[in-house]
Amino acid sequence: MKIFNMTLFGWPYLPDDAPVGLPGSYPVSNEYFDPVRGNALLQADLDRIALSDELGLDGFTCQEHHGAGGFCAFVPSTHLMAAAVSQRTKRLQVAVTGSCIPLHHPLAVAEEVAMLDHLTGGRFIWGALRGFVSEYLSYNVNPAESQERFREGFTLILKALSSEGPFDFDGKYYRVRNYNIWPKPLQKPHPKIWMAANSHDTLDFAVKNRTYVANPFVGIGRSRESYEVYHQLAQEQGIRVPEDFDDMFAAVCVIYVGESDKKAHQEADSAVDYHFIRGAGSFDLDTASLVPGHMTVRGMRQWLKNITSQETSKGMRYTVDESIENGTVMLGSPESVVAQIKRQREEGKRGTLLAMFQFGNLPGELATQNLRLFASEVLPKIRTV
Amino acid sequence: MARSRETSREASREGVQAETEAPQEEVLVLPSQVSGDVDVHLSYRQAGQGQPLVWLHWLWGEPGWMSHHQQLAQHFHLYVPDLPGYGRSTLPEWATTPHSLAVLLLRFLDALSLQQPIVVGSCLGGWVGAELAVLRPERLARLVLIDPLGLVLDWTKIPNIFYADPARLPSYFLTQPHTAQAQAYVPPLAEWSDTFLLNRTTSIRLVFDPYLHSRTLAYHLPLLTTPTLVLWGESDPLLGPEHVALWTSHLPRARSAIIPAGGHLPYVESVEAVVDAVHAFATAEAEEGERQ
Repeated sequence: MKIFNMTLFGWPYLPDDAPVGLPGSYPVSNEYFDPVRGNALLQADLDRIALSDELGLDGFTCQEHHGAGGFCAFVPSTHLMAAAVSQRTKRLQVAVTGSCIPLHHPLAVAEEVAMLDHLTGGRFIWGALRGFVSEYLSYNVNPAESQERFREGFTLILKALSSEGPFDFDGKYYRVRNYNIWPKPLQKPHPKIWMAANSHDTLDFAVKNRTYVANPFVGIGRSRESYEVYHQLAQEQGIRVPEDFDDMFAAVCVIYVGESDKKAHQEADSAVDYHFIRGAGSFDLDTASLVPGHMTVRGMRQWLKNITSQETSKGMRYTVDESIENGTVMLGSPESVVAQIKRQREEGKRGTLLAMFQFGNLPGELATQNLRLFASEVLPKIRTV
Repeated sequence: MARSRETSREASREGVQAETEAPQEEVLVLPSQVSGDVDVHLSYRQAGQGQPLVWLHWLWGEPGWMSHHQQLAQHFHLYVPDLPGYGRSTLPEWATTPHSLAVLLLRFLDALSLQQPIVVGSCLGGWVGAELAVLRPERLARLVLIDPLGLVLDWTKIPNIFYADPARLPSYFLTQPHTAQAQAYVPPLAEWSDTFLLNRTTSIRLVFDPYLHSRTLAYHLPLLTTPTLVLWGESDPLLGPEHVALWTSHLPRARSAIIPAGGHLPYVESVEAVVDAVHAFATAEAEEGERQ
């Protein structure tokens, strides 16, 4: 199992009465962002990423979010973060999962990907992301165009990364005449690509473009489904799955290691709750998902069924035990976490965990302790998982 | 056929609940004209006889054969198409703006040989009607715009109807959101049908950015020489009646009227007032000032 430090750069200081997760409450007002505390968080997170490099983790990754749209994370540009990390680490693979393509000019994305590959000395992994609907509200980009822009933009980026010499491109949204990017990426023909894919259609697009797959926060059952659908689609179309697909099949998760199960729960349960309730609440998932155009009518129908059913919608609001059970959280003593990670591979087919060691409002010193304990007590035992 | 229409009009004169014959539902196919394009299917309902009147529906589609349709069909040969991308009508990939819908609607008028129709458009339908009349002002006898989208004073002050608390959504359009008629137009969340979801999806494609307006329409409106009536709901919660002057200042041959107690879809709250205003305008002799 490969472990990437997925750093959210989330905001842990939302007061209890901050209006988040209420219908129509997006975006969270930046009156809740304290620049001095924010800067301290940023530096501490960067220190922990450098520490991950020293401790032998496999990689770093982060996700693009805008306007406090997801967990109040302050990563409006994953490329900036990756550039910073490239200069503070020596051997970690540096990934982004990913760039929200429709919000940027695809040529700019391609140029930055190539630059990041050089800045990291060929340690870069790129991730292609359509993003949640709130990102589209942020930049006033039509959510109904997100799917088309994502696919067309991705195709253009791939062309720009791989082309030898100037090329032309004629699309609905993007047109290019006689251009090539400078520099070309260091890795040939380009860095490996993760696609944030969960739905059948996006998995099909990933298969056709021979990318790897990174699941967002989903249970291991959903992961296994994605894995199987990917392989089925590849087989149907006679497309060869990349040899290292299994090791690269990734998902976002939370990891917390304590000295014992009891201690781990004592130290981290409330931070997990903060992450899934306060942090995830900044999405305002229920109302935002009703914004038309981003999902298909069929997807919206399913969503409506969930939120208008008798039970209160859960969104991402699971308890710690439920989250451990569905595989989005690994938490406990080193032995427990080792067992939980084995289950990730066996039941979820996951070969890479994009693991958050800092989440919710977990105090920084506990996040560092978590990371160290994980590296010394868990990492050696899961290498061959 | 003609006789049964006669009978129903008779009945309504006698004060019986308006029961015109059921509208006929049909689908018109506009064949592809450009290589690589697809045919466009336009479904529509029609009823009544006399001068053709084409009703262009609002942003989230026509929920059925409503009382204003019944009443207008007593005076006119009424056509109520589902705009492209709404209901059972298809939206070709190239059609991304209300202007594109106007082009398709002109083909609809031609295909059905509707001579000198009156075009009445509500909300999005008003915007499409205006775009259509700009293209062929002489093709229409009259144009009625009911709280049309297309021109706005300040789009940032208009509520976001796509990202909104669903419980508050009806109050962005309707002054009495809990009547059965109102809920037919903006149903409670639990009653959103697949058609309603589809209609909302089409609508965001057309009007999300620029939000509910065009950045060019105002410059085209001086060409719109069709005699035009701008009707506005007195209490339109989405676009206030201050927008009437915005329209009439750009239209060469327009007059306007306010519908008392009306919201964004004033025929929901004040159906008689809207039908009477449309009927009076459609049948009035052209006034001196309106002659070219």
